[in-house]
Parts: sequence; C-alpha cells; structure tokens
Amino acid sequence: MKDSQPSLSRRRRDLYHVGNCTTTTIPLDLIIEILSLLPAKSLLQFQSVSKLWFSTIRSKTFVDSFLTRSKNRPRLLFTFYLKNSWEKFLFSAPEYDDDKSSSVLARYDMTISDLDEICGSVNGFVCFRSVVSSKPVCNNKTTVYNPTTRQIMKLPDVTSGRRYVDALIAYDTVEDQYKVFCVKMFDRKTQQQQEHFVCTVSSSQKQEWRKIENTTGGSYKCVLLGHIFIDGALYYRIDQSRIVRFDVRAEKIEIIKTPKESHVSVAYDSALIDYNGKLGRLVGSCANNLVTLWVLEDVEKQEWSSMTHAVPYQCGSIHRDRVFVVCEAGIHAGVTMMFRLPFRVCYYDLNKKNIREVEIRGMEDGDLRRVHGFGVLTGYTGHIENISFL
Amino acid sequence: MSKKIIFESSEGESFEVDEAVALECQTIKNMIEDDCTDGGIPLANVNSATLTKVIDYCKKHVEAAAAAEANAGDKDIYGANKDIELKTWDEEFVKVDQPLLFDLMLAANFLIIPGLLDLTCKTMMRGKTVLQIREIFHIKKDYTDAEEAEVRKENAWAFE
Repeated sequence: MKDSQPSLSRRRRDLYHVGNCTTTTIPLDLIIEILSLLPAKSLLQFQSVSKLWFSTIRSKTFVDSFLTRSKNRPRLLFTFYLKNSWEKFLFSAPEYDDDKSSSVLARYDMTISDLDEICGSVNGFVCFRSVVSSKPVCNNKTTVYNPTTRQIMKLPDVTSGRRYVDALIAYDTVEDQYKVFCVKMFDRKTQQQQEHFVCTVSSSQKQEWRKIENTTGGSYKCVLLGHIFIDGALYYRIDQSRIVRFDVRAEKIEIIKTPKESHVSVAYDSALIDYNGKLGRLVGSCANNLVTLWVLEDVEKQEWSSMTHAVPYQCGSIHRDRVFVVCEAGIHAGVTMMFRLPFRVCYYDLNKKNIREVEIRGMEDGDLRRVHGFGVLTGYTGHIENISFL
Repeated sequence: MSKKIIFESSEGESFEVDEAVALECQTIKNMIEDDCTDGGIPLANVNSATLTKVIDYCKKHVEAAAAAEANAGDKDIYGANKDIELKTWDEEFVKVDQPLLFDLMLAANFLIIPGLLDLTCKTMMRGKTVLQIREIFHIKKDYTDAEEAEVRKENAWAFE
C-alpha cells in the first residue's frame, strides 16, 4: 500500500495538470497522431496549413513512420497504355482490402507521357526506361517516378551503341539511398563486354553513372522479367540456371547458381519472390498445375531447399498468366499471388492452401479507355506508398 | 455485482460506470491497476456533454466485444453482420457538431481510447480543406501568400 501512495499522488497531479490546458491548444503529439491517420493525398494538401505542419509532414521521422505503415498495406501496381496512345497510366489497388471483400477499387495515380517500360519498383519508387534511337547511337533514358507524390526524377542518359540495356531500382538500407542499377549487355557481334553501372537517385547532388567492376567473369545477354529486392540485395534471373545478386550497399555483383532439378524448359515459366526475407524461386509446370518453390537458404553456400504445391486450377500456371499479362508472382507473409487475366487477381496461400479471387475495379472506367481498349497491362505486387521526396 | 468507477466531469458532475467500461480507457486502466481510483476520478478537462458521449462509446464497445465473444463459434455467420452493425453505430455516434467532435478527440487522446481517437480524428479530417483545418485547429497562417502558393504549386494535383 505504501508503494501505491506516491503513484497515486503523481497520477492525480498529472490529471490536474493536464486539466489546466484549454481545449484550443493541441499538443504536437496529437497533431502527429492525427496526421498519421491520413492518406498521402491529404498530407500533401495539408503541408500548406502552416510551416509547422509542413515541417512535420516532411520530417524524416514522419516520412519513415508513414512508410512503415504502408508496408503493412501493400498495394498492387498496374501500368498500362491504351491502344493507339502514347500515354501510360499508373493505377494501384490494395492487396488486402479485408479478407471478406471479393473486389477492390483501383485508384488512378499518374500518367506518364512517354511509352516507357516499367523496370521495377522499390519502396514506392518506380523506375521506367525508354530508348531513343538515332543510329548508331542509342540513348537509354531512365526516369524514377513516385506515384504517391507524383515526383519525377530523370537520370542521365546511358549511351549504349547497339547494345541492349536494362535498368533496375534498388534501395540501400544502410545509407537510406535509392540507386538505379544498369547493365549494358554483352554483344557477341562486336565482342563488347558486359558493363554494370549504378546511379544514386537524388535531387540534391549531381547524378552520374558509376561503373562497377565485374568480378564474376560471367556474361549474359538479357535480364529476365521478374526481379526482386530483398534485404539490401537485388536479384534477377539471366537464364534458367543463373541468378545475379547485386549487393546495393557494397555495389558488388555475384552470380548464384540454381539447382539443376529446378531447370525448366521455358525460361519465363518461373518467378522470383520474397519468401519470408529469403530469395524464393517459383517454378511452375503447365502440365499438372504443380508449382515448386525453391528457397535460397544460404546465400554464401548457395544452398536451396524445395517444396512442391499443387496449385488449384483457377490460379492458372505462372506460364499461362504471362501469356495474357506480364506480371509478377509475389509472396507476402506466405501468400502467393498470381495474376490471371487483367482485372482479376488470385491469391494462393501456401500455408493454408486456400485460394481467393479478387476483382480489380475502376481501371476500365472512362471513355478513353473504353474507346481505345487496353494495350499491355503489367501488374506488380508489393507496391508501397511513400511520401518521401528525393 | 461488478465494481463501479466514478468519473467527475469538469463541471463537477459525477458519472458512475462499470469497471469494465472504464477499462476501455488506457489511462484509467493504469490507474485501476495502480489502485488509485477510490473517491472518484476527476477529469478537469472533460466536460459533462463530452464525458456522456465517451461513456456511451465505451459501453457500446464493451457490449459489442462481449456479444462477439459469446457468438465466437458462429463468427462466420454472424461476425460480419455484427462488425457492420458496430461500424454503423460508430458512424452515427460521430454525427455531432464540430466543437463536440473536437472535444471528443481531445478526450480520447487524453484518456487513451485508441478506437475513439481513430474514429474522431478520421471523421474530423474527412473532406476538409486547408482553410477549414486552420479554423478547426485555430492555426494562424504563417506563410506569406507567395510561400503558400509555392507549397501548393509543388503538389497542385493533390488539390484537384
């Protein structure tokens, strides 16, 4: 009882103390609490309320906490262009609205006026690439967009001659920097060796491409669709048997071999996924609806484990989905998502072995889209809203 | 017979509630755990009108939680309806004038009732313009017109 006495008087005093406040002054803590409930668009508006609100919304602490909350509500990112049109549209929709709903509403995010190819996204920053060719010089333009703030950052051109170029965006978790990684492929005709470059995305300092030494000795001709960024490293497939790992912080590349048993006849019949923080590789078979998940258990020893799942027919195979829509298959906390035809997403839970289909509404609306019809639609999982300005 | 807790509003009016209802407030929960609620809890910054509403909210949510637990086995059939019912109740609950909503938000913040804080904040901010926000929060514009135009220009699309 004696112990509770000081506590009692202290609490009482606190209550009385708070009681002296007038209801017109709001503690900054509460303002931050209120702001943290708001969607990105409102936050961008309310920057103009006052200087304090501006600096609060722009502060690193607030931006980081917004990102942390966003990670718990990942979105699907869709990009498509219309037939006979040069404009590209970005839409996004919640991945999990709530478990019961069978449809979610997509939101228009932004329009991109060049016919750029999407080449990945990380923490809400989406990288696009386009090629302006005036032979014999090819200029590869790389642009980073943030659909949440609609910020656009153009990177310096990459001149490639006749070589094929690919670019991917990654995040350095230690330095808190975004970097675009670019590969000029090996060219057999001219025997030009492959080269890797990296550029830090920033509006405050001069942006330039830095060449990375290639110590792997391996060469390759293309970056296959479906790369993934996991815990400071970027992974992409270059053929059936090899995956490149780019360490974003150290700016080093290495080649990882995939197990022989996992090689399939069609290269795009597999996808890379984040399996609870480890690199996972889904290999699908169109013949029997079996999907094998290979997990890279040890990066250094390059040890893989595997498990095979019978995927319900409705999900379709990874291969068949890609005939209609170029897309990703991603695992988030044990849930695999596979895209079927445009506008329907199929979630397959590897642990519960259940399947859920969700319709994506809102993209087919609008006269323009009805008249023109859709071009290629690309869907990405795990898109995160980020209010950070680079 | 459940234990009763007595609240005292800023006007000195007493409100007797079940302990379970009071426990919805994290601040009060801590006090109950510290055993310092005897003789009533004075809430000098919560007026009677606000306190009445706060108690209504806590009561409803305690009842809803109890009902949900009783029906736990049938959740698939009834759970969804119950959720919708509570949501509808919440929506009706915050159909009050702006000053009361503001006071409810402050009370929810002070008493630490996360559900009510979330509900009142979202309701208060929904569809508000920058001018309305300044009015509600008694914020004096400290931008010059040129500065404000600059900030707006940067994210002009957000005002569409």
